[in-house]
Amino acid sequence: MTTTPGAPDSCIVVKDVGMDFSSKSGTFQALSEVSLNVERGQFATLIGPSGCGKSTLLRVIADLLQPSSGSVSVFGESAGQARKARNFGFVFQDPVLLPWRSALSNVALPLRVSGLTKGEAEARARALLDLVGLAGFEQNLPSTLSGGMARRVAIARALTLHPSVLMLDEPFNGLDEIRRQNLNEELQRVWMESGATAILVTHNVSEAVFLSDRVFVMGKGPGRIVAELVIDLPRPRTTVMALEGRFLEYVRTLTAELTGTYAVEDL
Amino acid sequence: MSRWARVVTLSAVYLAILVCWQLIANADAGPQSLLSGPVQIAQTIIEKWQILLQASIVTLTEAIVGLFGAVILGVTVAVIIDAVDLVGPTVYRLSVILYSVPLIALAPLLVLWFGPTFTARAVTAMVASFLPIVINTVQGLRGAPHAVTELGSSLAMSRISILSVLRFRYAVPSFLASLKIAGPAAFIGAMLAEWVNAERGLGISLLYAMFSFNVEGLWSTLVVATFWSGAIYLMFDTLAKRATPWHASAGAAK
Ligand SMILES: Nc1ncnc2c1ncn2[C@@H]1O[C@H](COP(=O)(O)OP(=O)(O)OP(=O)(O)O)[C@@H](O)[C@H]1O
Ligand SMILES: [Mg+2]
Repeated sequence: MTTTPGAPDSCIVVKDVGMDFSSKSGTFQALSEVSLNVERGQFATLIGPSGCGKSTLLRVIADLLQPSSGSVSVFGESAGQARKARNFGFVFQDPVLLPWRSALSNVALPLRVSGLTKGEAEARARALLDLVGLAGFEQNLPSTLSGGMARRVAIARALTLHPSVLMLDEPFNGLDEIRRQNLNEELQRVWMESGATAILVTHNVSEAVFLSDRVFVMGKGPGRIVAELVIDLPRPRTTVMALEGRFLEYVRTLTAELTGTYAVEDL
Repeated sequence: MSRWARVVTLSAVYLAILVCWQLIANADAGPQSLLSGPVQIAQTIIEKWQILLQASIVTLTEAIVGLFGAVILGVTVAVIIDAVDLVGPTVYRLSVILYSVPLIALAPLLVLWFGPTFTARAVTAMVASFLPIVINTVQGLRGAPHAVTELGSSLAMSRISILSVLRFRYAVPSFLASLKIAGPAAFIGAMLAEWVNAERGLGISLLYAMFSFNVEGLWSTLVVATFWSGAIYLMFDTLAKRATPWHASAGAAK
């Protein structure tokens, strides 16, 4: 099931995007001719070896970086318009919590920025902290939160403005397997409740299969999309399902695709 | 070492220094002596406390007004250096040149411009103290993670609010730390300005004491001036630690 660019149900259309970084030592081609399409309400994942340009692509879609060539449109508008309309919720590779603000006040930041009063903003932030399972930790400073909690706070913050697109750059990197599985389930629940379109960057094959409707496998030298896989499993997905045949079949297929993107010297 | 052991050791060291100082001063006593012992200095300070306090207030006022100006100038310059790539390096170089002009040469010039006024002295204090504020504030702003700027962009915040709401707070610890250096520097700048232009103040008292060969007066003024310099340092040191309790643990923040 592929959609033509600009079809009514496509949310994100990336066309022929190239990204060159120039420095004193020359030009580095981080992305070349990347095209992809994500439908409204879908969960899409970018997976690929380190340095293949996943974060760069996500930043280009979020209009945090200007592509050297090609275009990005979000619901028919440019990425810049979508960003200025605050349509994006971004979870960065590090949680990036402001260290002087409590968890509550960190989550309230986007609401304060968009002009809500402190009272209104904190009431909504409280509800969001509750949604990600952090009720009772409102007043904690980031330095007193565990890695997993800090990432939940970052996800809650990304959701505060009801973004139509949620972007997650390796949100659970560095967490142990059990906690990661647990957070994946919560992320699925939170995302389903929000109705947003989501783009996730990950290195983890089973995480990609567990969460996604569609997976884009990227290769490097230069960064590009080498394969696309549709994951047709019912939702909500559960930890039990992750042990069953069809799920494991997807994991096998994706692992094979991913292995193909590694050059021999990388292995 | 326990806290008490440290306090006792330190007190003992200081006491030993004071005793030696006094013994040397006693041995060298006489009308031509250039060294006053701690006891004589303390006596002079107690006798002349009103005069010394008045002089202190004059100099401290100049230093405080100068430091206040330095904060405004320094932070403004830092923001320009940080925000405007085109002129940033030039502004930085100009600041360094201004700071490199010997104060003792600059003070008379300022008297020509502003007259023998309080303003001239405060401006001298300002010039003496603004560069550490610039350097530390720029460093602090640069130390804010790049992702914080991206967070702001993703929320469609303007450059100005990204700076004032998000990044400036990262610069607060190093800004406050710079005041530990800038504060005493402003005080010394004010004293120096008094040498070329003042009727009252600790700086001019030193000069009067020197010309009238008042050794006790010189020493007592010196001790009082050192006390204020140290007090300013301690005040900003405490402020820096109190005002940014998140900073000490910020390194652990994930
Ligand atoms: N601002 C930049 N300037 C120069 N080169 C950059 C810049 N950002 C990224 N790159 C380069 O582009 C390539 C892709 O980087 P990117 O961060 O997108 O990779 P990634 O797939 O997210 O990797 P990882 O999985 O390790 O996070 C890397 O080789 C990186 O060095
Ligand atoms: Mg990355």
